[in-house]
Amino acid sequence: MSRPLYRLAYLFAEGVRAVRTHLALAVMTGLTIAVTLLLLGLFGAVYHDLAGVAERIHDELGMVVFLTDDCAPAQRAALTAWLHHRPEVARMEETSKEEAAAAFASRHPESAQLLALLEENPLPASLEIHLDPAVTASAMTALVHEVEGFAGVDSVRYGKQWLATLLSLTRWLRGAGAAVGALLAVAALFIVSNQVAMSIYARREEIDIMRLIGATNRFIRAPFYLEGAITGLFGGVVAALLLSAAHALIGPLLAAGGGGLLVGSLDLISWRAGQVAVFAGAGALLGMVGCWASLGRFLKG
Amino acid sequence: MIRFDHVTKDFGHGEPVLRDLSFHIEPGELSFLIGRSGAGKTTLLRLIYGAERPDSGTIRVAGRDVSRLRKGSVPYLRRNIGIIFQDSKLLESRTVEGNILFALQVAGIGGRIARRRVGELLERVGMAGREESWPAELSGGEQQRVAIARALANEPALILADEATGNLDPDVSEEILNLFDAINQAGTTILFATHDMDVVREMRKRVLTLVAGEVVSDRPPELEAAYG
Ligand SMILES: Nc1ncnc2c1ncn2[C@@H]1O[C@H](COP(=O)(O)OP(=O)(O)O)[C@@H](O)[C@H]1O
Ligand SMILES: [Mg+2]
Repeated sequence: MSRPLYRLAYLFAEGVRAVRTHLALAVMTGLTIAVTLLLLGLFGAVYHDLAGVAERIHDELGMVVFLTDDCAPAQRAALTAWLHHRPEVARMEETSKEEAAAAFASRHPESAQLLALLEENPLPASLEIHLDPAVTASAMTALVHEVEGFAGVDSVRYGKQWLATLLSLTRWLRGAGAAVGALLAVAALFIVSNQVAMSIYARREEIDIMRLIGATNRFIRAPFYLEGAITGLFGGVVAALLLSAAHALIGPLLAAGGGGLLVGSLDLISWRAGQVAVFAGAGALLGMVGCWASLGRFLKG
Repeated sequence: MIRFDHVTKDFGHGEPVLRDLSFHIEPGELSFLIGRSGAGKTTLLRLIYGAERPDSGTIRVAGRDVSRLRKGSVPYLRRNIGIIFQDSKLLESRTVEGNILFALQVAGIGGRIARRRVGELLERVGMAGREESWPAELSGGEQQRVAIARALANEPALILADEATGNLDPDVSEEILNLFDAINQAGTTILFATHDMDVVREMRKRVLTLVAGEVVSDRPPELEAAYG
């Protein structure tokens, strides 16, 4: 074998040996990493989904201003002129009482006669306002309050009040996800670094002898990094498998129950080779960072 | 091979352990460093292999200034120095072969070449065919032989022994000393630190005596023979 090849073979043998010498501990550490990645993955998926929903709704942002029947043309003109100058307003469609009635009739032909029976057209004139997609929920609420203050305005309907709630929920979720994720990652790092510390302790004699024989720091440290990486890799693959199992089990149930939101999430995390690779890579990275922290503390050069 | 020039080492409590120490050892010499327990023998050896740094003075090993060696260069210095201690420091979890292979691995030697080398080394220390034995199955003298084989693995120019016969019965101790002598005859420079005067008397070699951090006497082999 050539030198580099031999070194690689040595490194791998030592890394595996290290994992094998305390297999139970390595498995526990790997599972902790798996749980961390699993929760992070779920958080990420749900967040991604809610943010997507909020985004889509945002695109359709709009409100309808219903005018009173006694709204004078001048009042109406003042309102439309004012709205035209508002930056939040993208475009506007005016509907008269008659147009509203016609629209109603064409949409509900079976009830058209009902409308004709009435002496007076009960449908109000309205302004349908399409907002600029960049408008925030709070800006929209402010605009609604201003419009409500105009003379001749009966009411303003913006069926998407819950959008504000959704938006703040996604913001909250992002914050909470980041906090919980950071906490979990720190916990996982702590546990990995603890495993490596035990491994260093178990091999301290060997390390002393290696130093005396003239092993470089890199040579001494490499197997520990490999141990961390193997453990993390294992955790990442377990997390990916659990997620795909969750998808297979819960997905159809949710679809049947109409849980549209979460089905989307689970789609995102379904079994795909690329995602397994991402999880495995994230696990290996966690393992190596944890190892690095431990080597810094317990294996000074 | 080894040159100390005005070397002082002070750990900071009380007197310095080594004080303005100067001596030198020629390539191919077998010398003894004697002194009571606490005289500074181990510290002196540690300075040579870069485990400690002097507070002042310079130390040269094979022409290289090791007193100002970068940390990253210490491993390469050590590959040229074999070190043997009172306890053999063999890994209990590896066979005799595994222990010696371990030293070869560090230098990047593996595979069949390394296995053959282990066989040669074991033969050289009188342990031929003992590859598969475990350290726990060996006597103290045999363990020390394996430790010597491991120290020789990378063909160092210099061997440092720190009380290498300290745990052995006198007759076994003599065998080990003869082994050191044979290794020296083959060209390796050896510095052997001990507090045991009996060891020194038998060998009739150069003796450096360390008292309170200073070399108080440096007797050449001829004189030592006369004392015999
Ligand atoms: N790392 C250290 N820190 C502080 N004191 C030390 C250290 N190493 C050795 N000493 C002190 O230096 C003196 C010489 O020790 P040592 O070199 O081990 O002597 P010897 O090997 O001759 O018995 C002792 O008093 C010991 O306590
Ligand atoms: Mg000593």
